Amino acid sequence: MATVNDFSIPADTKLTETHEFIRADEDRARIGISHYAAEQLGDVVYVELPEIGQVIEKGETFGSIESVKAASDLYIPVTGEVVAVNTQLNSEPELINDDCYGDGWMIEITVSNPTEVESLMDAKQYLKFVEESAS
Amino acid sequence: MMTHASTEQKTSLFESHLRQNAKMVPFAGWQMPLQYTKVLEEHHAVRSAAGLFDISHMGLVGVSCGDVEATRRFLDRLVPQDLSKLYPGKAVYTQFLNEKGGILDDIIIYMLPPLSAFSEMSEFLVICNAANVDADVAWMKSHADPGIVLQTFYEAFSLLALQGPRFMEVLAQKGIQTEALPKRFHITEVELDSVPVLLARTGYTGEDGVEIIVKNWQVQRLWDNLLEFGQPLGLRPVGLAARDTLRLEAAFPLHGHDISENDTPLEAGLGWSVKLQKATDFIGRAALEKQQKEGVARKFYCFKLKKKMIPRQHDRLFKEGREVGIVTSGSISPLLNEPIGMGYVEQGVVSGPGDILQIEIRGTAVDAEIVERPFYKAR
Repeated sequence: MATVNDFSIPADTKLTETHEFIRADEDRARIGISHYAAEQLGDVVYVELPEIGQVIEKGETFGSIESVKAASDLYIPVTGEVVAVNTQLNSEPELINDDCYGDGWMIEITVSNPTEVESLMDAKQYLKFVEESAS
Repeated sequence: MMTHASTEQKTSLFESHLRQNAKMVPFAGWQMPLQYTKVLEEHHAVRSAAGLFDISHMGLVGVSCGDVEATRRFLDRLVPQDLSKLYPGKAVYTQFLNEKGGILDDIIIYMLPPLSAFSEMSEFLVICNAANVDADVAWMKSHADPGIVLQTFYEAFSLLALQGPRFMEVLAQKGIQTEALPKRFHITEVELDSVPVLLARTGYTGEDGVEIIVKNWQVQRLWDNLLEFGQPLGLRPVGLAARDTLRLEAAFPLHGHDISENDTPLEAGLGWSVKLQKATDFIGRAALEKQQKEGVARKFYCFKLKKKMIPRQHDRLFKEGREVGIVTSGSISPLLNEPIGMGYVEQGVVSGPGDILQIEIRGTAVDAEIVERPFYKAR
Protein backbone atom coordinates (compact mmCIF):
# COMPACT_ATOMS: atom_id res chain seq x y z
CA MET A 1 0.00 0.00 0.00
CA ALA A 2 1.61 3.28 -1.05
CA THR A 3 1.52 6.20 1.29
CA VAL A 4 2.02 9.20 -0.95
CA ASN A 5 0.84 12.00 1.30
CA ASP A 6 4.27 12.81 2.56
CA PHE A 7 3.46 15.75 4.79
CA SER A 8 6.96 15.74 6.22
CA ILE A 9 8.69 17.28 3.19
CA PRO A 10 10.06 20.64 4.36
CA ALA A 11 8.99 23.64 2.30
CA ASP A 12 12.42 24.44 0.83
CA THR A 13 12.95 20.93 -0.56
CA LYS A 14 13.36 19.97 -4.22
CA LEU A 15 13.14 16.38 -5.40
CA THR A 16 13.99 14.12 -8.33
CA GLU A 17 12.22 11.34 -10.18
CA THR A 18 14.73 8.92 -8.64
CA HIS A 19 13.53 10.05 -5.19
CA GLU A 20 16.54 12.02 -3.99
CA PHE A 21 15.94 15.36 -2.34
CA ILE A 22 18.08 18.47 -2.20
CA ARG A 23 17.76 21.32 0.25
CA ALA A 24 19.82 24.30 -0.85
CA ASP A 25 20.96 27.20 1.29
CA GLU A 26 22.83 29.77 -0.79
CA ASP A 27 25.44 27.74 -2.72
CA ARG A 28 25.48 24.81 -0.30
CA ALA A 29 22.98 22.00 -0.34
CA ARG A 30 22.19 18.81 1.54
CA ILE A 31 21.10 15.71 -0.31
CA GLY A 32 19.31 12.55 0.79
CA ILE A 33 16.38 10.38 -0.20
CA SER A 34 12.69 11.14 0.21
CA HIS A 35 10.53 9.70 2.95
CA TYR A 36 8.57 7.86 0.29
CA ALA A 37 11.77 6.21 -1.00
CA ALA A 38 12.83 5.28 2.53
CA GLU A 39 9.40 3.73 3.14
CA GLN A 40 9.65 1.76 -0.07
CA LEU A 41 13.12 0.47 0.77
CA GLY A 42 12.23 -0.44 4.32
CA ASP A 43 14.83 -0.73 7.06
CA VAL A 44 18.10 0.74 5.78
CA VAL A 45 21.18 -1.16 6.94
CA TYR A 46 24.07 0.22 4.87
CA VAL A 47 24.83 3.44 3.04
CA GLU A 48 27.88 3.93 0.86
CA LEU A 49 28.81 7.56 0.36
CA PRO A 50 31.48 9.37 -1.72
CA GLU A 51 34.75 10.92 -0.58
CA ILE A 52 34.86 14.59 0.34
CA GLY A 53 36.25 16.67 -2.51
CA GLN A 54 34.74 14.58 -5.28
CA VAL A 55 32.92 16.52 -8.00
CA ILE A 56 29.88 14.65 -9.22
CA GLU A 57 27.89 15.53 -12.31
CA LYS A 58 24.12 15.82 -12.18
CA GLY A 59 22.49 12.41 -12.60
CA GLU A 60 25.62 10.41 -11.72
CA THR A 61 25.67 8.01 -8.79
CA PHE A 62 27.04 9.38 -5.52
CA GLY A 63 26.64 6.17 -3.58
CA SER A 64 24.35 3.30 -2.81
CA ILE A 65 21.93 2.24 -0.15
CA GLU A 66 21.02 -1.20 1.11
CA SER A 67 17.94 -2.13 3.06
CA VAL A 68 16.98 -5.53 4.41
CA LYS A 69 14.83 -5.85 1.30
CA ALA A 70 16.72 -4.24 -1.59
CA ALA A 71 19.70 -2.26 -2.83
CA SER A 72 19.56 0.97 -4.77
CA ASP A 73 21.99 3.41 -6.34
CA LEU A 74 21.85 7.06 -5.33
CA TYR A 75 21.83 9.74 -8.05
CA ILE A 76 22.94 13.28 -7.42
CA PRO A 77 20.19 15.80 -8.26
CA VAL A 78 22.59 18.56 -9.42
CA THR A 79 26.28 18.93 -10.20
CA GLY A 80 28.47 19.81 -7.25
CA GLU A 81 31.52 19.14 -5.12
CA VAL A 82 31.09 17.00 -2.03
CA VAL A 83 32.06 19.04 1.02
CA ALA A 84 30.62 16.85 3.78
CA VAL A 85 29.22 13.35 4.24
CA ASN A 86 26.99 12.25 7.09
CA THR A 87 29.30 9.76 8.84
CA GLN A 88 26.65 9.20 11.52
CA LEU A 89 24.87 7.01 8.97
CA ASN A 90 27.69 4.44 9.25
CA SER A 91 26.56 3.53 12.74
CA GLU A 92 22.94 4.69 12.55
CA PRO A 93 21.63 4.05 9.03
CA GLU A 94 18.12 3.94 10.50
CA LEU A 95 18.24 7.75 10.63
CA ILE A 96 17.25 7.59 6.97
CA ASN A 97 14.02 5.84 7.93
CA ASP A 98 13.42 8.00 11.00
CA ASP A 99 14.31 11.49 9.79
CA CYS A 100 15.38 11.49 6.15
CA TYR A 101 15.08 15.28 5.64
CA GLY A 102 16.84 16.06 8.93
CA ASP A 103 19.44 13.86 10.63
CA GLY A 104 19.20 11.32 7.82
CA TRP A 105 20.83 13.58 5.23
CA MET A 106 23.61 11.93 3.21
CA ILE A 107 25.95 14.44 1.60
CA GLU A 108 26.50 18.17 1.48
CA ILE A 109 27.72 19.78 -1.74
CA THR A 110 28.57 23.15 -3.16
CA VAL A 111 26.16 23.64 -6.02
CA SER A 112 27.91 24.43 -9.30
CA ASN A 113 24.88 25.84 -11.07
CA PRO A 114 21.94 27.04 -8.90
CA THR A 115 19.53 27.00 -11.85
CA GLU A 116 19.81 23.20 -11.84
CA VAL A 117 18.18 23.24 -8.41
CA GLU A 118 15.38 25.48 -9.60
CA SER A 119 14.46 23.10 -12.39
CA LEU A 120 13.73 20.18 -10.01
CA MET A 121 10.29 19.28 -8.68
CA ASP A 122 8.97 20.97 -5.58
CA ALA A 123 7.20 18.95 -2.86
CA LYS A 124 3.77 19.28 -4.44
CA GLN A 125 4.98 18.27 -7.90
CA TYR A 126 6.95 15.36 -6.41
CA LEU A 127 3.95 14.00 -4.53
CA LYS A 128 1.89 14.20 -7.69
CA PHE A 129 4.67 12.38 -9.56
CA VAL A 130 4.81 9.63 -6.92
CA GLU A 131 1.06 9.23 -6.88
CA GLU A 132 0.94 8.89 -10.65
CA SER A 133 3.82 6.43 -10.83
CA ALA A 134 2.47 4.37 -7.93
CA SER A 135 -1.00 3.95 -9.38
CA MET B 1 -3.36 6.93 1.88
CA MET B 2 -4.13 5.27 -1.39
CA THR B 3 -6.29 2.23 -1.38
CA HIS B 4 -5.58 -0.42 -3.92
CA ALA B 5 -8.27 -2.85 -4.87
CA SER B 6 -6.48 -6.06 -3.98
CA THR B 7 -7.36 -9.56 -4.94
CA GLU B 8 -5.30 -11.09 -2.16
CA GLN B 9 -6.89 -13.08 0.60
CA LYS B 10 -6.97 -11.71 4.11
CA THR B 11 -6.25 -13.61 7.29
CA SER B 12 -8.69 -13.32 10.18
CA LEU B 13 -6.28 -10.84 11.77
CA PHE B 14 -6.09 -8.50 8.76
CA GLU B 15 -7.97 -5.60 10.39
CA SER B 16 -6.00 -6.15 13.56
CA HIS B 17 -2.70 -5.84 11.68
CA LEU B 18 -3.87 -2.55 10.19
CA ARG B 19 -4.78 -1.28 13.66
CA GLN B 20 -1.26 -2.22 14.76
CA ASN B 21 0.13 -0.10 11.91
CA ALA B 22 1.61 -3.06 10.09
CA LYS B 23 3.04 -2.45 6.64
CA MET B 24 0.99 -4.90 4.61
CA VAL B 25 2.31 -6.58 1.47
CA PRO B 26 0.97 -9.11 -0.99
CA PHE B 27 2.62 -12.47 -0.39
CA ALA B 28 1.69 -15.73 -2.09
CA GLY B 29 -1.83 -14.47 -2.73
CA TRP B 30 -2.33 -13.06 0.76
CA GLN B 31 -2.19 -9.63 2.35
CA MET B 32 0.41 -10.18 5.05
CA PRO B 33 2.15 -7.99 7.63
CA LEU B 34 5.72 -7.30 6.49
CA GLN B 35 6.62 -5.43 9.67
CA TYR B 36 4.89 -3.61 12.52
CA THR B 37 7.80 -1.41 13.53
CA LYS B 38 11.37 -2.10 12.42
CA VAL B 39 12.63 -5.37 11.02
CA LEU B 40 15.77 -5.39 13.14
CA GLU B 41 13.85 -4.62 16.35
CA GLU B 42 11.40 -7.41 15.63
CA HIS B 43 14.26 -9.78 14.83
CA HIS B 44 16.09 -9.02 18.09
CA ALA B 45 12.85 -9.39 20.07
CA VAL B 46 12.53 -12.98 18.84
CA ARG B 47 16.18 -13.77 19.65
CA SER B 48 16.10 -12.18 23.10
CA ALA B 49 12.48 -12.50 24.27
CA ALA B 50 9.64 -13.69 22.05
CA GLY B 51 7.68 -12.84 18.91
CA LEU B 52 4.15 -13.57 17.80
CA PHE B 53 3.54 -14.18 14.09
CA ASP B 54 0.36 -14.50 12.06
CA ILE B 55 1.25 -17.22 9.56
CA SER B 56 -2.31 -18.13 8.61
CA HIS B 57 -1.31 -17.94 4.96
CA MET B 58 0.52 -21.25 5.34
CA GLY B 59 -1.31 -24.23 3.96
CA LEU B 60 -3.01 -26.57 6.41
CA VAL B 61 -4.05 -29.69 4.56
CA GLY B 62 -5.83 -32.54 6.30
CA VAL B 63 -5.15 -36.01 4.89
CA SER B 64 -7.32 -38.92 5.95
CA CYS B 65 -9.32 -41.88 4.67
CA GLY B 66 -10.83 -43.52 7.71
CA ASP B 67 -7.95 -45.97 7.97
CA VAL B 68 -4.95 -44.23 9.47
CA GLU B 69 -2.50 -46.91 8.35
CA ALA B 70 -3.71 -46.66 4.75
CA THR B 71 -3.25 -42.88 4.92
CA ARG B 72 0.23 -43.36 6.35
CA ARG B 73 1.16 -45.71 3.50
CA PHE B 74 -0.15 -43.18 0.98
CA LEU B 75 1.89 -40.28 2.40
CA ASP B 76 4.95 -42.49 2.88
CA ARG B 77 5.06 -43.02 -0.90
CA LEU B 78 5.25 -39.25 -1.45
CA VAL B 79 8.12 -38.26 0.83
CA PRO B 80 11.73 -39.30 1.52
CA GLN B 81 11.21 -39.33 5.30
CA ASP B 82 10.32 -42.59 7.01
CA LEU B 83 6.72 -42.08 8.11
CA SER B 84 6.59 -45.55 9.68
CA LYS B 85 8.34 -43.88 12.62
CA LEU B 86 5.47 -41.46 13.21
CA TYR B 87 3.06 -42.05 16.07
CA PRO B 88 0.05 -39.99 17.18
CA GLY B 89 1.32 -36.56 18.23
CA LYS B 90 4.65 -36.81 16.33
CA ALA B 91 5.68 -34.57 13.44
CA VAL B 92 8.46 -34.69 10.86
CA TYR B 93 10.08 -32.25 8.40
CA THR B 94 10.17 -33.56 4.84
CA GLN B 95 9.60 -32.71 1.17
CA PHE B 96 7.39 -33.62 -1.75
CA LEU B 97 9.72 -34.66 -4.59
CA ASN B 98 9.24 -35.17 -8.29
CA GLU B 99 10.67 -38.21 -10.13
CA LYS B 100 14.00 -36.39 -10.53
CA GLY B 101 14.24 -35.87 -6.79
CA GLY B 102 13.51 -32.15 -7.22
CA ILE B 103 11.78 -30.46 -4.32
CA LEU B 104 8.17 -29.54 -5.14
CA ASP B 105 7.66 -28.23 -1.63
CA ASP B 106 9.02 -28.65 1.86
CA ILE B 107 6.47 -29.51 4.48
CA ILE B 108 5.87 -30.73 8.01
CA ILE B 109 3.69 -33.80 8.41
CA TYR B 110 1.92 -34.18 11.75
CA MET B 111 0.38 -37.47 12.81
CA LEU B 112 -2.55 -36.17 14.80
CA PRO B 113 -3.46 -37.47 18.23
CA PRO B 114 -7.15 -38.06 18.98
CA LEU B 115 -8.74 -34.59 18.98
CA SER B 116 -11.87 -33.33 20.70
CA ALA B 117 -12.38 -29.68 19.69
CA PHE B 118 -10.85 -30.16 16.22
CA SER B 119 -13.07 -32.96 14.98
CA GLU B 120 -12.74 -31.65 11.40
CA MET B 121 -9.16 -32.98 11.46
CA SER B 122 -8.06 -36.54 11.79
CA GLU B 123 -5.15 -38.82 10.98
CA PHE B 124 -2.57 -36.52 9.30
CA LEU B 125 -2.00 -32.80 8.89
CA VAL B 126 0.40 -31.38 6.29
CA ILE B 127 1.62 -27.81 6.76
CA CYS B 128 3.03 -26.48 3.51
CA ASN B 129 4.17 -23.24 1.91
CA ALA B 130 1.39 -20.79 1.05
CA ALA B 131 2.50 -20.45 -2.56
CA ASN B 132 2.37 -24.22 -3.07
CA VAL B 133 -0.89 -25.27 -1.43
CA ASP B 134 -2.86 -25.75 -4.63
CA ALA B 135 0.00 -27.56 -6.35
CA ASP B 136 0.59 -29.76 -3.31
CA VAL B 137 -3.07 -30.72 -3.08
CA ALA B 138 -3.16 -31.48 -6.82
CA TRP B 139 0.04 -33.53 -6.48
CA MET B 140 -1.33 -35.55 -3.59
CA LYS B 141 -4.64 -36.00 -5.37
CA SER B 142 -2.95 -37.30 -8.51
CA HIS B 143 -1.25 -40.03 -6.48
CA ALA B 144 -4.04 -40.71 -4.00
CA ASP B 145 -5.65 -44.07 -3.50
CA PRO B 146 -9.44 -44.09 -3.73
CA GLY B 147 -10.90 -42.92 -0.45
CA ILE B 148 -8.13 -40.46 0.48
CA VAL B 149 -9.69 -37.16 1.50
CA LEU B 150 -7.70 -33.94 1.21
CA GLN B 151 -9.04 -30.89 2.96
CA THR B 152 -7.68 -27.34 3.28
CA PHE B 153 -8.60 -25.46 6.42
CA TYR B 154 -8.32 -21.75 5.61
CA GLU B 155 -12.04 -21.27 6.25
CA ALA B 156 -11.77 -22.80 9.69
CA PHE B 157 -8.38 -22.24 11.26
CA SER B 158 -5.69 -19.65 11.76
CA LEU B 159 -2.04 -20.40 12.41
CA LEU B 160 0.11 -18.36 14.79
CA ALA B 161 3.75 -18.84 15.74
CA LEU B 162 5.04 -17.94 19.18
CA GLN B 163 8.82 -18.12 19.08
CA GLY B 164 11.74 -17.08 21.24
CA PRO B 165 13.49 -17.92 24.52
CA ARG B 166 10.65 -16.54 26.66
CA PHE B 167 7.79 -18.29 24.86
CA MET B 168 7.22 -20.67 27.78
CA GLU B 169 6.78 -17.77 30.18
CA VAL B 170 4.24 -16.23 27.81
CA LEU B 171 2.29 -19.49 27.67
CA ALA B 172 2.53 -19.87 31.45
CA GLN B 173 0.77 -16.51 31.77
CA LYS B 174 -2.13 -18.05 29.92
CA GLY B 175 -2.40 -21.30 31.80
CA ILE B 176 -0.01 -23.64 29.96
CA GLN B 177 2.61 -25.11 32.22
CA THR B 178 5.89 -26.44 30.84
CA GLU B 179 4.87 -30.06 31.51
CA ALA B 180 1.83 -29.59 29.27
CA LEU B 181 3.96 -28.49 26.32
CA PRO B 182 4.55 -30.88 23.45
CA LYS B 183 8.17 -31.95 22.97
CA ARG B 184 10.16 -30.83 19.89
CA PHE B 185 8.36 -31.93 16.72
CA HIS B 186 5.26 -33.00 18.59
CA ILE B 187 1.72 -31.69 18.54
CA THR B 188 -0.92 -31.72 21.24
CA GLU B 189 -4.38 -30.33 21.90
CA VAL B 190 -4.65 -28.01 24.90
CA GLU B 191 -6.67 -25.12 26.23
CA LEU B 192 -4.77 -21.87 25.92
CA ASP B 193 -6.42 -18.87 27.51
CA SER B 194 -9.61 -20.99 27.76
CA VAL B 195 -9.52 -21.55 24.01
CA PRO B 196 -8.97 -24.99 22.48
CA VAL B 197 -5.82 -24.98 20.33
CA LEU B 198 -3.39 -27.37 18.73
CA LEU B 199 0.12 -26.62 19.94
CA ALA B 200 2.97 -27.85 17.76
CA ARG B 201 6.57 -27.53 18.93
CA THR B 202 7.80 -26.45 15.52
CA GLY B 203 8.90 -23.17 13.96
CA TYR B 204 10.93 -21.35 11.36
CA THR B 205 13.03 -18.93 13.38
CA GLY B 206 15.82 -21.03 14.88
CA GLU B 207 14.33 -20.44 18.33
CA ASP B 208 12.40 -22.79 20.52
CA GLY B 209 8.70 -22.08 20.35
CA VAL B 210 5.31 -23.27 19.25
CA GLU B 211 2.97 -22.95 16.32
CA ILE B 212 -0.65 -22.59 17.34
CA ILE B 213 -3.67 -23.73 15.36
CA VAL B 214 -6.79 -21.93 16.55
CA LYS B 215 -10.29 -21.51 15.21
CA ASN B 216 -10.69 -18.39 13.09
CA TRP B 217 -13.42 -16.97 15.29
CA GLN B 218 -11.24 -17.28 18.37
CA VAL B 219 -7.92 -16.06 16.95
CA GLN B 220 -8.38 -12.33 17.56
CA ARG B 221 -8.91 -12.68 21.29
CA LEU B 222 -6.01 -15.08 21.60
CA TRP B 223 -3.71 -12.76 19.60
CA ASP B 224 -4.69 -9.75 21.73
CA ASN B 225 -4.36 -11.59 25.01
CA LEU B 226 -1.03 -13.18 24.23
CA LEU B 227 0.38 -9.80 23.23
CA GLU B 228 -1.09 -8.07 26.26
CA PHE B 229 0.20 -10.61 28.75
CA GLY B 230 3.44 -11.22 26.90
CA GLN B 231 4.33 -7.57 26.46
CA PRO B 232 5.99 -7.21 29.90
CA LEU B 233 8.14 -10.21 28.93
CA GLY B 234 9.22 -8.53 25.71
CA LEU B 235 6.76 -10.25 23.36
CA ARG B 236 5.82 -8.30 20.26
CA PRO B 237 4.13 -8.94 16.94
CA VAL B 238 6.62 -9.83 14.20
CA GLY B 239 6.14 -9.62 10.45
CA LEU B 240 7.34 -11.59 7.46
CA ALA B 241 10.47 -9.47 6.95
CA ALA B 242 11.96 -10.51 10.29
CA ARG B 243 10.68 -14.05 9.76
CA ASP B 244 12.94 -14.09 6.71
CA THR B 245 16.07 -12.80 8.47
CA LEU B 246 15.40 -15.18 11.37
CA ARG B 247 15.10 -18.25 9.16
CA LEU B 248 18.17 -17.16 7.20
CA GLU B 249 20.33 -16.99 10.34
CA ALA B 250 19.05 -20.46 11.18
CA ALA B 251 19.92 -21.46 7.56
CA PHE B 252 16.45 -22.86 6.95
CA PRO B 253 15.81 -23.05 3.21
CA LEU B 254 12.93 -21.09 1.71
CA HIS B 255 11.10 -22.86 -1.09
CA GLY B 256 11.15 -20.88 -4.32
CA HIS B 257 14.50 -19.38 -3.31
CA ASP B 258 16.94 -21.87 -1.78
CA ILE B 259 15.12 -24.97 -2.90
CA SER B 260 12.95 -25.67 -5.91
CA GLU B 261 11.99 -28.47 -8.25
CA ASN B 262 15.49 -28.12 -9.76
CA ASP B 263 17.21 -28.90 -6.47
CA THR B 264 17.24 -32.18 -4.59
CA PRO B 265 17.35 -32.49 -0.80
CA LEU B 266 20.83 -34.02 -1.12
CA GLU B 267 22.10 -30.96 -2.98
CA ALA B 268 20.35 -28.64 -0.55
CA GLY B 269 22.07 -30.12 2.49
CA LEU B 270 18.85 -31.73 3.64
CA GLY B 271 20.21 -35.27 3.40
CA TRP B 272 19.50 -35.77 7.10
CA SER B 273 15.81 -35.80 6.21
CA VAL B 274 16.21 -38.38 3.43
CA LYS B 275 15.78 -42.02 4.46
CA LEU B 276 16.83 -44.06 1.43
CA GLN B 277 16.75 -47.24 3.51
CA LYS B 278 13.09 -46.96 4.40
CA ALA B 279 10.78 -49.84 3.51
CA THR B 280 8.34 -47.92 1.34
CA ASP B 281 9.32 -46.90 -2.16
CA PHE B 282 8.80 -43.15 -2.72
CA ILE B 283 8.67 -40.76 -5.63
CA GLY B 284 12.16 -39.51 -6.40
CA ARG B 285 13.92 -42.41 -4.70
CA ALA B 286 15.70 -43.75 -7.78
CA ALA B 287 17.04 -40.30 -8.62
CA LEU B 288 18.26 -39.72 -5.07
CA GLU B 289 19.90 -43.14 -4.91
CA LYS B 290 21.73 -42.44 -8.12
CA GLN B 291 22.82 -39.03 -6.84
CA GLN B 292 23.89 -40.57 -3.55
CA LYS B 293 26.01 -43.14 -5.35
CA GLU B 294 27.56 -40.82 -7.92
CA GLY B 295 27.84 -37.80 -5.64
CA VAL B 296 26.08 -34.47 -6.00
CA ALA B 297 27.30 -32.00 -8.62
CA ARG B 298 26.81 -29.02 -6.33
CA LYS B 299 26.35 -28.37 -2.66
CA PHE B 300 24.63 -25.82 -0.51
CA TYR B 301 26.80 -23.45 1.52
CA CYS B 302 26.50 -20.59 3.97
CA PHE B 303 28.78 -17.59 3.69
CA LYS B 304 29.34 -14.16 5.16
CA LEU B 305 30.80 -10.95 3.78
CA LYS B 306 33.24 -8.48 5.27
CA LYS B 307 32.20 -5.64 3.00
CA LYS B 308 28.94 -3.88 3.72
CA MET B 309 27.10 -5.17 0.67
CA ILE B 310 24.22 -7.58 0.83
CA PRO B 311 24.18 -10.61 -1.44
CA ARG B 312 20.82 -11.23 -3.12
CA GLN B 313 19.15 -14.14 -4.84
CA HIS B 314 20.63 -14.75 -8.35
CA ASP B 315 23.96 -13.03 -7.58
CA ARG B 316 26.73 -15.17 -9.08
CA LEU B 317 29.58 -16.83 -7.20
CA PHE B 318 33.12 -17.01 -8.58
CA LYS B 319 36.39 -18.72 -7.68
CA GLU B 320 39.51 -17.25 -9.28
CA GLY B 321 37.41 -15.64 -11.98
CA ARG B 322 35.46 -18.78 -12.88
CA GLU B 323 31.73 -18.90 -12.22
CA VAL B 324 31.10 -21.68 -9.71
CA GLY B 325 27.74 -21.05 -8.15
CA ILE B 326 24.75 -18.90 -7.36
CA VAL B 327 23.29 -17.10 -4.37
CA THR B 328 19.80 -18.22 -3.37
CA SER B 329 19.20 -16.05 -0.28
CA GLY B 330 20.96 -13.15 1.34
CA SER B 331 20.40 -10.43 3.87
CA ILE B 332 22.00 -8.82 6.83
CA SER B 333 22.33 -10.98 9.93
CA PRO B 334 20.94 -8.70 12.61
CA LEU B 335 22.60 -10.88 15.23
CA LEU B 336 26.10 -10.94 13.70
CA ASN B 337 25.64 -7.49 12.15
CA GLU B 338 27.21 -8.80 8.95
CA PRO B 339 25.87 -9.57 5.50
CA ILE B 340 25.16 -13.28 5.13
CA GLY B 341 23.94 -15.51 2.37
CA MET B 342 23.41 -19.06 1.18
CA GLY B 343 23.67 -20.69 -2.17
CA TYR B 344 24.90 -23.53 -4.36
CA VAL B 345 28.53 -24.09 -5.31
CA GLU B 346 29.96 -26.72 -7.68
CA GLN B 347 31.22 -29.82 -5.94
CA GLY B 348 34.95 -29.74 -5.27
CA VAL B 349 35.38 -25.98 -5.23
CA VAL B 350 34.94 -25.49 -1.51
CA SER B 351 37.08 -27.44 0.93
CA GLY B 352 35.45 -26.05 4.05
CA PRO B 353 34.77 -23.09 6.30
CA GLY B 354 37.27 -20.29 5.83
CA ASP B 355 37.43 -20.70 2.05
CA ILE B 356 36.96 -17.48 0.13
CA LEU B 357 34.74 -17.08 -2.94
CA GLN B 358 33.76 -13.92 -4.78
CA ILE B 359 30.21 -12.73 -5.22
CA GLU B 360 29.32 -10.36 -7.99
CA ILE B 361 27.07 -7.79 -6.35
CA ARG B 362 25.82 -5.08 -8.68
CA GLY B 363 28.93 -5.33 -10.84
CA THR B 364 31.44 -5.50 -7.99
CA ALA B 365 33.34 -8.64 -6.95
CA VAL B 366 33.07 -9.00 -3.18
CA ASP B 367 34.82 -11.62 -1.05
CA ALA B 368 32.59 -14.12 0.72
CA GLU B 369 33.84 -16.47 3.40
CA ILE B 370 32.34 -19.93 3.66
CA VAL B 371 31.08 -20.56 7.20
CA GLU B 372 29.50 -23.45 9.11
CA ARG B 373 25.78 -23.99 8.69
CA PRO B 374 23.79 -22.58 10.41
CA PHE B 375 24.85 -19.01 11.20
CA TYR B 376 22.95 -19.17 14.45
CA LYS B 377 21.84 -21.94 16.75
CA ALA B 378 19.73 -21.31 19.85
CA ARG B 379 21.40 -22.44 23.06
